[in-house]
Amino acid sequence: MQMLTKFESKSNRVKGLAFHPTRPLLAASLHNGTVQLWNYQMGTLMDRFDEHDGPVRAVALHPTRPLLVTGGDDYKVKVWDIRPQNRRCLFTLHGHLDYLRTVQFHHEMPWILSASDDQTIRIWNSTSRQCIAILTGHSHYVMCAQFHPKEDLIVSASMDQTVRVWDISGLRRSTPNQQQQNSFDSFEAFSTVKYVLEGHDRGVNWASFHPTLPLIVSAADDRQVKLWRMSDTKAWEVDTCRGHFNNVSSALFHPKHELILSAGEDKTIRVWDMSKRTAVQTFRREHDRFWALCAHPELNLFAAGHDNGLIVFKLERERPAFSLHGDTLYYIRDKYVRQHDLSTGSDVGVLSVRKLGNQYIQPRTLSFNPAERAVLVTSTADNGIYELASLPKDAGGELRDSTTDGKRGQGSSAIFVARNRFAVLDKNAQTIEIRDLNNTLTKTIKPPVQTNEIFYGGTASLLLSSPTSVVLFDIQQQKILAELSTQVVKYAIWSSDSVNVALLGKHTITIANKTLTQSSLIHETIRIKSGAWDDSGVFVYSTLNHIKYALPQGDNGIIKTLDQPIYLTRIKGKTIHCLDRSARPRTIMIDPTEYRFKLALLRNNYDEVLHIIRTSNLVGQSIISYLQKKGFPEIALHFVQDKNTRFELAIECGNLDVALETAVALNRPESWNRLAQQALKQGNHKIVETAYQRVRNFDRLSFLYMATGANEKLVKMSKIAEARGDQMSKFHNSLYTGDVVSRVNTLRDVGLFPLAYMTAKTNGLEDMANDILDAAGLTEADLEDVPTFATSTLKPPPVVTLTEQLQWPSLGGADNFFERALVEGRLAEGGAPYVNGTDAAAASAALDEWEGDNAIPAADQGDDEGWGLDEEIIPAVEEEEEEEAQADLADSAPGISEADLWVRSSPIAADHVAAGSFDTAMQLLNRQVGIVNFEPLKPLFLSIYRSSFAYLAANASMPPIQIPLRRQPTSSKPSQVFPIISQTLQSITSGDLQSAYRAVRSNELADAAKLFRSILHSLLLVVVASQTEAKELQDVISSCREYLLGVSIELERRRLVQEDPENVRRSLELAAYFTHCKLQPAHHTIALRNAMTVFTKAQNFATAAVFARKLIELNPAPKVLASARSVVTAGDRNPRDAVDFSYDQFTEFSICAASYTPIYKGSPSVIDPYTGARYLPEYKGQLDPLLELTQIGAPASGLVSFV
Amino acid sequence: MDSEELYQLKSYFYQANYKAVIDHPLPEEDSPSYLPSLIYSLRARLALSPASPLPQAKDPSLAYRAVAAFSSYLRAADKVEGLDELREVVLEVEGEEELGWEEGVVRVLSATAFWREGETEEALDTLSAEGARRDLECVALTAQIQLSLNRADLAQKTLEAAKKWADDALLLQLVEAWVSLRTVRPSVRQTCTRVLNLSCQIPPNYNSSYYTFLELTTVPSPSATLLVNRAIAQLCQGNVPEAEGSLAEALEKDPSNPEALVLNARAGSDEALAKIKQVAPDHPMLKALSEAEARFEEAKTKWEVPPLATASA
Repeated sequence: MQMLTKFESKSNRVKGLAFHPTRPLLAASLHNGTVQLWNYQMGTLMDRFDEHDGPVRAVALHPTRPLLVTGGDDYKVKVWDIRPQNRRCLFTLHGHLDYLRTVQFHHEMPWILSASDDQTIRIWNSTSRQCIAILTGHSHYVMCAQFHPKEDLIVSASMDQTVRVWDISGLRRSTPNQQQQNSFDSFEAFSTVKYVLEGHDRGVNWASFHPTLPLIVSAADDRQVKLWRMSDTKAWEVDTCRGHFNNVSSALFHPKHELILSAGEDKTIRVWDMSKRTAVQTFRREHDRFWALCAHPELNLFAAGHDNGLIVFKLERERPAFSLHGDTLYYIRDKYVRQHDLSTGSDVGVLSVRKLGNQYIQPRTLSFNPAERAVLVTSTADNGIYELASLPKDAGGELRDSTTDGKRGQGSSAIFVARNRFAVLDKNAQTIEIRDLNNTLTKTIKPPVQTNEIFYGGTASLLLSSPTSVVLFDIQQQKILAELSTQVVKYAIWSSDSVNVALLGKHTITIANKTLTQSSLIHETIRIKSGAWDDSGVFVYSTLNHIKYALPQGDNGIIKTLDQPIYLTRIKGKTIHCLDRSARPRTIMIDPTEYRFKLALLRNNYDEVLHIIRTSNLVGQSIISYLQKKGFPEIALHFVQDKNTRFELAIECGNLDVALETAVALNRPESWNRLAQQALKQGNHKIVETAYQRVRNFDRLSFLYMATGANEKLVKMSKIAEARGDQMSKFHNSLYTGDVVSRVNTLRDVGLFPLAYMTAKTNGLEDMANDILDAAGLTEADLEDVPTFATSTLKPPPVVTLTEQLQWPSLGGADNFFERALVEGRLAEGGAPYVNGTDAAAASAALDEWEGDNAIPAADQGDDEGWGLDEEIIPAVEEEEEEEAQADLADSAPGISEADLWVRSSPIAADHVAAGSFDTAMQLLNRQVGIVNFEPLKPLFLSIYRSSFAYLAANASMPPIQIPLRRQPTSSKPSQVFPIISQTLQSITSGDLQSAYRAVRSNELADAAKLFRSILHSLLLVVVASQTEAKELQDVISSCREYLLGVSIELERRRLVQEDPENVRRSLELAAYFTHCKLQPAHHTIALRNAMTVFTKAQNFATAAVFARKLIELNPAPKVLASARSVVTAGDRNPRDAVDFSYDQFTEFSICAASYTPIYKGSPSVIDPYTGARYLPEYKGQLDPLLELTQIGAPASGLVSFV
Repeated sequence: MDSEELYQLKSYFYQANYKAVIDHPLPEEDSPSYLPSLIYSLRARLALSPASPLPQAKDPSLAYRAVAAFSSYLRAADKVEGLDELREVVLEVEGEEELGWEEGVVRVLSATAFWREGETEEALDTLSAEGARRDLECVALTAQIQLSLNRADLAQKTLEAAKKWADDALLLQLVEAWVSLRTVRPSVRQTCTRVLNLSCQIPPNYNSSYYTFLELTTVPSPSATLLVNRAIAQLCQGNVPEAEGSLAEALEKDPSNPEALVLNARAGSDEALAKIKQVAPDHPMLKALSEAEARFEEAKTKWEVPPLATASA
């Protein structure tokens, strides 16, 4: 038996321990007064509580609420809130008069149990924070007291050498905490000593209940562990486990197996067999005495506290040994190899491995050899052993034990490497032995690296796991093929196509290809338990608490959270097959959409991506950010409706239309600014203009107008500037427009007379210059010292190209696959309410209007009101929007009709016919089955078209509404609606076909021919529901063809007999050919009888006898049988043929449906593309005579009748 | 509020039980519900037999003028005159304030005429005016036009908007039933929306409309039209035998109901087809069929038929 340490900490002496039943939390109380709260899965110290004075021995966690209780040598019981945000001591319970030894929460009542050196056990109500019972009776320190996990019992252990069991059912019945308790007497009534267990010779340190059985185990300073049993009336000592050589601190039952664990000051943890009371295993520590031991209530998990810290450990691995082959899982449960069929769920034991190793150790690995149906099982017992055994061919019967084969040996890992070879690693000797199925050694290999474990590495190869790397080793050539440095690898899992391998370590997964040349590494903070490959090449793995996926390039994510670890065995579609810790096969349903989506994206499989977008309802914030991160903002854009996110995404992928639309909706200055930036980058100055208008960024707007040469708008801008009274802006605008007068006026207005004067002067505006001089109260004379300047040449550059009218051309790159596909999808919806191109256009049109209507009037009335008043603009905008909404209602653009949808999404001719799209239907029929003559199909076309719509009368005097009738009433996607087709394969086979058969039987061959022809016509436009039905349809078509051909041949023969009675030879031939049409037996007899009669009449007795024999084989009616017999006798008597004719009954042939002559096997022929009837090559390109529909020998892709 | 009588009359009208409307006695002339009742009665008459002349008007109310104009539009060979009169009435309506139900009548009748003439935009425009916003008949007509335009999405919007103020009116239930028969169920976008919790309801489909029709036809004397509608809903649900039952019931009730005949012809009855040609020669189905036939002939010519392969060839 192994002790697997899961967590270890170093600290002061640990005196008390408590597990949380559902969370990975462990509380430890220390001798130095600290209480620690550990997350033993992550290995982190969550919190520490330091308020006790002196050592803390007692600690417990509340099973459901975030509470911790501790008891210290300061006589106090403290209750803590352990939630990080409000961790604090909630209250302190005073009352004990000496050290506290243990505390515990009751599992359902609000009770706290405490045991103290003051010789009492107290029960406190944690709601009222009062002591509700004091259990007295012990005559020395009470070392331990525990509630029974289910019943109203308490067990206590004391230095007075007794263990006591108390009955507290009285406490539960009444609620004594409501009364005032003054005396100890009032408590006595509620709790009585039930049993006193005497037997230990020294003080008893610990006693605990068995979780389910009426058993108690106790540990005492007499170095013994005692087992006690209780009945309703008494309790007695069962046995003693001797072995500890110092005080035993604690003892408890294993929650799952029949084992007792004890820990003592002799620095050992010992495991005992509960039924035999013998020592199973001893785990020794060098220096640390053990003081506390506790078991997780649910799991195979224990914690022990010692002088220098604590350890969390489990006994024995729980990972079941298993091996998967195809649909069958071989695994070991309770020491039986079991065979589990994953598809049917059947589960049978096939081999016992009870005698492998010792009884407490489960086999470690299982390797299955499908060729020989043999298994290799390894166990860690005795330093590693393996056993090779073959499985019985059929399950059931008595199970053999693996030892009967007697093929075993030493080795730490053993796996099959070929159908008749397996490899065994001897870790100590560092050799790998290759053995055959008789367990004979064939080869010994010295591994090139220190090897801890070997795995299958592909044909004739091994993966060797060394402490620092994984080596791919070729057994034949004994050389290293590849090496990959990794952390210790514990498992290697191959994908089903053996292309990729996942190497699992404790915290890492390395995904590599089969030559170990490419790999990616995934880190997990939590232990990795197992993994399996999805068929699509995604690796799904389980950690302690999650199922996750990993894509080949290393992206990973969570699929599902787990309560308990599981061991994945196979992933098939949405189903995960796994084994749980007790090795029971389970299946878990998962949603693989997310990783399929990412995988498709990774592989640039956009069809798949699109399909997933369309069909799944995955997609949330995480997918959006994933898409963004991976550089597909345009796809993400299609998912989002949140305006902010849409805007961000649209900006990111440069989709200005959407950005504009969302900016309008958001209408925030910062969005407008960002939009302006982005639009400027793309040179879309119209949008830039709109954005600047919205945020009233006049300066930039002016500059933009100048840059684009929009002079008219600049003039408007200067008016606006005037209205706003912004002189600087006015100056700029006049500069941009080259309006000198306005510039001079502006300068004058702001009192810059010198500048105004100079400007006027240099631009030759003498009058103005003089005015300015006057205004400034100066004369020319005052300006004599001012130098004179030449006339100014400053003017705006001329407009070369009317950029204002033009848009910078942009690359059409934005229109990628998804845009197109999704836009199409949207159109197919019949016009979704937004990102609809026309809407965006409408929005920008509205903006233009806004600009046109409001900006100018506002500027015009600028004189009295000015433009900067917000109130004016915003209502105007709102009105605009309202009108838009109204316009929406009055939107009269027709949508896509249902018929168009049908045509668009269906490859079936019948659907196109139903939609009235005869042209495309004909194209389809021509392409699929080579039809060129459509006239015979006209009634069929019209009746199908007629039946695909209903007309619903609605409002008075209005024409009715056309209601398209759908095939599948439940279909939800516009791409998957198809019209109803009233004629089904069933209705034809059960109706028309039967009457056609009847016509054949009753010899109304002309009618029969007509019926078969019409059936074949109808079958062209039949829709079936499944692949099997489609096949059935093909069968019906071929069968009808045979009938039609046969009937036509016979009709031709009759015509011949009528018109050309001399030509007996041809008549005989035709009769013979008729028998070669593949009819049903009942109808075949008709053909045979016919031939028999005709041949007999022509005195060709020999051949007539041939037909008669064939007839007899078909077991016809007695009367027919008799006549056939007589023909046979006639033939035997007279084995000659009077008329010579061309008929070779021994060679296979088919019949040309035009000339009714045989086409022998191997000779050239052409085929009717629809029915498959054969013709002589000379008829190629002509209209087929059977149905008069198709062009013989035309290329055809085959009838599509199923979506 | 409408009087009991008027309410009954309206229900009949909406359920296309026009005979019952006509047979219903009119109230006293001075009663406030006289004029509406009269208008409904006249409209029912027009719905049943468009060609019948109207009794002479005594009162020149707008509603009456609209009915008269509509009637003349229906009867006259030259449609222009009636249309112009209707346009005039609509203009007058726009001039007036607080007209109430009369405005609705005017708009509905005009829009009906416009739509029949193919003036889709004008029809929708007439129906979307301010005064028509709260008129259920206008809403119903709008929805029908939108449905006919294959804009089930818009019809759905119209319906949702109307639901906010007239949640359980009989006519609205009917509109909902019509719309559900044409609604394409939620698509990608909507699915995504649903996941992102950004408000989206799956519109109920065929079942809801079936239930509406079922409820209205399980009364003592259901109208043939509604029975046909029920049959259509059943067909849409894929319940063919039940649909046939409903259809038979409808035909029994009114052997010359055009929609019933059409549905019967759909199922393959040529007899019914012949009868439609008599009863409703301008039924859209007949038009569609003859168009289809023409299309067939045209499409057929694109294929060259090679000579028939025969033994002599």
